[in-house]
Amino acid sequence: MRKGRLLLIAGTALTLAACAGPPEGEPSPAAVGDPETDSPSEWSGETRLVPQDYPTIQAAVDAAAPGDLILIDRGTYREQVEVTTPGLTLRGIDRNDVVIDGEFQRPNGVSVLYADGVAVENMTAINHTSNGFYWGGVRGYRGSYLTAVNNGVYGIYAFDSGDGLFDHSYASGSPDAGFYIGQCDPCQATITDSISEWNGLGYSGTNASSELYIVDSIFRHNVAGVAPNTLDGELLPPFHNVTVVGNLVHDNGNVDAPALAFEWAAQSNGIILAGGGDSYVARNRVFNHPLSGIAIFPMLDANFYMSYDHQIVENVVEGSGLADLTLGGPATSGNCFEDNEFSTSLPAAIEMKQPCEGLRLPALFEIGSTTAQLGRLFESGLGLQPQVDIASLPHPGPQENMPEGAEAPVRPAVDVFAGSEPDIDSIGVPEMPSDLEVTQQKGINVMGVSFGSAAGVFFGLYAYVLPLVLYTSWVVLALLDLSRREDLSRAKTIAWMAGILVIPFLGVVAYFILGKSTIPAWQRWVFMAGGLAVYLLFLGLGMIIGGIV
Amino acid sequence: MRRSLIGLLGLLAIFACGGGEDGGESTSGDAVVVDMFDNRYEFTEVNVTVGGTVTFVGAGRNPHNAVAADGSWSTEDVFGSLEQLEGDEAVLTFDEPGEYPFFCTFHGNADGDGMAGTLVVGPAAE
Repeated sequence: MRKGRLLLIAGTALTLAACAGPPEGEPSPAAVGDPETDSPSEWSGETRLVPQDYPTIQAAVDAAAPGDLILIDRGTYREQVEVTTPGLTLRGIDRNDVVIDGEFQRPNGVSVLYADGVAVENMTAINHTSNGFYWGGVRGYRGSYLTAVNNGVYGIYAFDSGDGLFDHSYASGSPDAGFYIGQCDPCQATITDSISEWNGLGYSGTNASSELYIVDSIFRHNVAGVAPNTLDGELLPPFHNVTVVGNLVHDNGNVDAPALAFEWAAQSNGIILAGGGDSYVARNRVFNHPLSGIAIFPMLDANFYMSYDHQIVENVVEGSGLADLTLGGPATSGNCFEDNEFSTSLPAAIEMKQPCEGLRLPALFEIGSTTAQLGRLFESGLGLQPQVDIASLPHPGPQENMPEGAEAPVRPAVDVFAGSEPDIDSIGVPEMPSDLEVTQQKGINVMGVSFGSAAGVFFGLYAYVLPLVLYTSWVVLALLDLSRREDLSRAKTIAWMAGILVIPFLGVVAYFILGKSTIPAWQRWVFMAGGLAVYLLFLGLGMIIGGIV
Repeated sequence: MRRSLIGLLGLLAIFACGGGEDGGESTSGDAVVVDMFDNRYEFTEVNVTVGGTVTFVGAGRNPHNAVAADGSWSTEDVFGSLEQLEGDEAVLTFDEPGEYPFFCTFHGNADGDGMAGTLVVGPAAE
């Protein structure tokens, strides 16, 4: 078979294989802003006591009617609570002494499935194989004064749902994320006054968009801090219009915390915006991160998502091993940085080159930090990532109880967002805690790649440098060829030279294909396709072993 | 020249799009594979010939399963647990023709809300 035909087939096959469509399926109406709810907006007046009236929480839930209060006394409850009745309020009388223990045998502490308006308050869920507290497919949800410790996927979790609030809650020891809100647009949800530590991610929000606020909270000692992100496994990609304001984000990069592969790849960064757009990250205090304080990256899953139009403004960022502010590419030119207090950035002088107002330079981003993440995925795929037994992780001390406790007003979770949407303009940068200080020093970095892991360095530099070397060699070869040609007029020679030099990449490729170069065709293909093939081979190897494809 | 251009575009495409695959809404055959993502099935309409197999594969961060709404079959029957994690497979063989709505007990319900689908076991297509 002739080489042209081979390339035709290979090229077409790659094109078809590489470009996947969006994930199929329909999100629930609740997740896309349908205001209809099955929940009553008022307490029914009925209180069901556990264990005085019912021996288990589940028995009380099964007996309850919409609008009832399930009031749970002190004790350890070894059960999984499944709620399918709308408008219930589940309340512990003491946050620290009402404990649902999954014993690493049951998936969820409390799961609320397709039951609108359920509020869960003032209790703890530990040791579940999946999630501590979980809402799925609901309109109206609220988790207040909850503690979730050492649960196998997420601590406090809302999926395919809208109109929600997580407040005054705590999550630790979850390999994916302490707090997670996913697959919603508009989410109409808020996380506030909460603490997330010792998780894979402090906050993760896959394909969660619009009217979504993460504010006034603490994200510390996680593998990575706050990470709105886009993935094809869930519906409604990419994420957009997420607001992250007034948080204390510090000392993430804790490799003793549990993590899955993607969380491992994100490690050592404070706030990451991965593959979405139009988000607003402002007035956060971010410090002590081995890589970046705040970083924008693309996201590669079944599809490739560039980040666009994010605004990073008025943050205080310091103590970053790689850079305080990073724009990892490829990214569009719409991302901007302005009025931040910072010392280092990748690319350098990022606020001059990417301001929120004024001229922004196109294609100004840094590749090495992006491709280094492929190395982390590669590490994880080879089993080199430390495996953390979540049962061995520490439990927090006592957490603050809900004011008024058992006597607090009963409020089903109806119109939650309307009553809790934060006033963003009133939120400032949090004070530096008196017991903390900036300790992270700038690390050894080359071309945006931190020398923290062998695989990270290999993929970071290889993916970054090889295309530059290839491109440079193509240009030199093309210019040499042109300088020796006598069949072209001076005007044509100058035109081709200008095209090669002025039009990055495509200029030289066009010359080799269309310019009737005197270099034998097989040599041109070795230079172009051969080099690219080797590059793609390594990149593909990283993606396959890293589990992306 | 045209072939060369297409070939080069193919090589470049991997820069613009990642590899991988996504589900459609339906699939059919003698041996069907259905990934269980967070929190949806790769295919919500699954058609298999009588005597054929359906392999349910865990592909999410959360555990998943597939259970017939009428209780006639479950991935637990062959996997031994309702919690299939990423990479776990349950291969079910279907000998009885019929239509079987199914759902994930963690992320859907027998009413068809959330993570749910329909399996049709029927004769092979002519």
